[in-house]
Amino acid sequence: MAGLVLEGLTKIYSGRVESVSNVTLTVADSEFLVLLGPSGCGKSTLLRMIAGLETITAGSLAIGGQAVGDVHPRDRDIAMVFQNYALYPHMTVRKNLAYPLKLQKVPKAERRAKVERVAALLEIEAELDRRPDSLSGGQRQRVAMGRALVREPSVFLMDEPLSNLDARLRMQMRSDISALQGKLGITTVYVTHDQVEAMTMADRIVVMNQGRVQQVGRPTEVYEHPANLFVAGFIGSPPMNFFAARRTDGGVAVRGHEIPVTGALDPCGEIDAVVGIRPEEVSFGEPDPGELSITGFIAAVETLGAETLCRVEADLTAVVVEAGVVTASAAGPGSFLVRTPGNRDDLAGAQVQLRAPIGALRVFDAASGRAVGVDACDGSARPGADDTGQPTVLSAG
Amino acid sequence: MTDRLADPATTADDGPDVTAVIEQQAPSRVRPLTRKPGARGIVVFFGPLFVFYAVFYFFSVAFLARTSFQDVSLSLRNAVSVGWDNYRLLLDDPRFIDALRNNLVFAAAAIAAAMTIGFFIAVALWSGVRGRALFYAVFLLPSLMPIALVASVFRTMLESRFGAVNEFLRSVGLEALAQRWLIDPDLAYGVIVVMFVYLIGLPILYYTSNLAVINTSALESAVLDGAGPFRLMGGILFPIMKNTHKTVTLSTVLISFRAFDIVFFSTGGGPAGRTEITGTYVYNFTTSGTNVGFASAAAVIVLLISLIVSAVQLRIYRRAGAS
Repeated sequence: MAGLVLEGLTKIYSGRVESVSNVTLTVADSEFLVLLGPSGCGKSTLLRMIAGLETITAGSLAIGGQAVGDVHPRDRDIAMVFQNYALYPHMTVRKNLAYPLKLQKVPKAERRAKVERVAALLEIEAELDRRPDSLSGGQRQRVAMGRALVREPSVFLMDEPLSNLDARLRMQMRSDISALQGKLGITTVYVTHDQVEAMTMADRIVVMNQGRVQQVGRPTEVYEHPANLFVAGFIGSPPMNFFAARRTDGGVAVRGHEIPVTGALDPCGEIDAVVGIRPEEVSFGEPDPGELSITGFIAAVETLGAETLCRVEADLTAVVVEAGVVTASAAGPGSFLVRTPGNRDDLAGAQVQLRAPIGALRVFDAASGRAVGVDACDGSARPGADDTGQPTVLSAG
Repeated sequence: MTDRLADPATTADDGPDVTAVIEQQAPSRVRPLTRKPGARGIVVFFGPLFVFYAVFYFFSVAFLARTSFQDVSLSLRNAVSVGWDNYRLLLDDPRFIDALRNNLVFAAAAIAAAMTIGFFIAVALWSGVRGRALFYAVFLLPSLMPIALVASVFRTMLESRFGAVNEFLRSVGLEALAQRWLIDPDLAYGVIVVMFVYLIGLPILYYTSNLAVINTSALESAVLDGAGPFRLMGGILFPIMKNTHKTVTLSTVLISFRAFDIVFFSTGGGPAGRTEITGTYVYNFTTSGTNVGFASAAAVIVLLISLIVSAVQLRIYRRAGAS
């Protein structure tokens, strides 16, 4: 096993297009690190640079303490699982699994034993003499994992390995991969654009956008304390609600509540500062004195079985954030998403009173999009603790 | 007033089945975009094609088959039915058997060259060597030019007294290497083989188009597994492209039976029938005018062999596809 150290890794294509920009990261031994970001953010390029499939324009890379920037991919002691599995179609599963060992000139008997051990671990013994085209997606995925595992590498690289599977199988494989990684303790770098995969599998998440690292942290940390507007908007489904707030001398004022912040706030156009709140932090009901009060009209509902998403046209100035940048503030009532438990399609068209604890608000600098430290958040109770979740319907629409 | 959140994945489940609505309304309001053509449509669309096929394929093949059972001159008058005599004579003629064998040898040489040199060139060009466009032009142009022209240029260049090849060899003091390229039977045979090999542009094109669409992950995976360039090419890329190999093999075998112009415009089938292929054999007998039926029988046999080769190949394709 080995850790990874990336220092200032940069990839520039054709001397112009900067795909990965100055990425500095340390991946601990046995850690499960997930690179998360939208399509084209550079996460796969970064993974391929670690694998040696892309050259490094600038920066350095070390695996297990050894600089490997100029080392051939086969000598980096890594194994990679590709999005489309990359199995050799003309070989049986057994030969696919044995191929890396054959190239390493591992004796036949040892090769056979290792293949059978990995096949047993992944429960694909029955498929050893079949060809990849006769396997299901899940089985192919397991074979791809097996081919990577059989080499007993120091580092495991996975490039969206679950994206070709259906939702049910993906869930199964998610827990299988996590369990396997935990059992074997192989340092793993996993690329995905699926935040559920990232949140459920990662020890730490690296959120990337436009080739740059936006935030590195544990899943709950990234979710609860997003470093900037991009992370706040990207992590979470549905995403965080953003609305405008007024700057005051010591912080921001939101509907009569003063929130002291550390650091300066730069305005963006007419917007002094941006405040964000997650849909599940807002609840129906009369606000307590320390809570934010919002009234609005439920313009749309979406029932998901266990919960309901409501789009509320609220009396707030909503802020439009695209790719982490404030682009506009909505004229008129701001659109606001609320997540509430149970099936509540009866709420459609209702005029409602909402409340949210001040402590759940996140404040962002409007110009740069970075999160601003909130000094003394109001410690009022989060919604749901003693809340029935029943909306206060002011008038039926 | 109330609408659903804009998410197609969920709205599709909630609302009525859109496709079902369209299908219900189709008979009354919407003319379907595709419908079965009527008798008039069939005649208009297929009639010209049918006439073309009737004249140039069905009639000509039937005429050829009938003639092959006759003893008839080039005037096609006063034909005498001779039954299977033409076929018997043909199969007893060592020149015809040699021509058939030459066909297969030239085809084998072309296939071997295509699957080795052609494959290698295609991969080298695909992997991004400098001046790729120029190399493509160099290898593809001969295949795009009329073969008769290529063969004529070869013949002129290899002419023993004033040909460019011998002139060049003499000018650099290598007179001993100047040969009677198209007169010496063995050398002439070699020249024809070289010409077949030279026309590997089409296989390169097949390989290049396949390489343009293959998924490179398997290759990258092999690189990580430790495969070197040759193992990568021979052990991974070559087997992955098996369908292209089949296309190359089939097309080359069939082209070899139609490669009349390569031989005719270079050696004419000579010297002494050494480079004769079935095409030139049929041509020579037809133009001699003595018995067109005999040449027709040869053409029928070549046609049958081509059909059998195609059928076998298609059967292999289907079997591979099914597996």
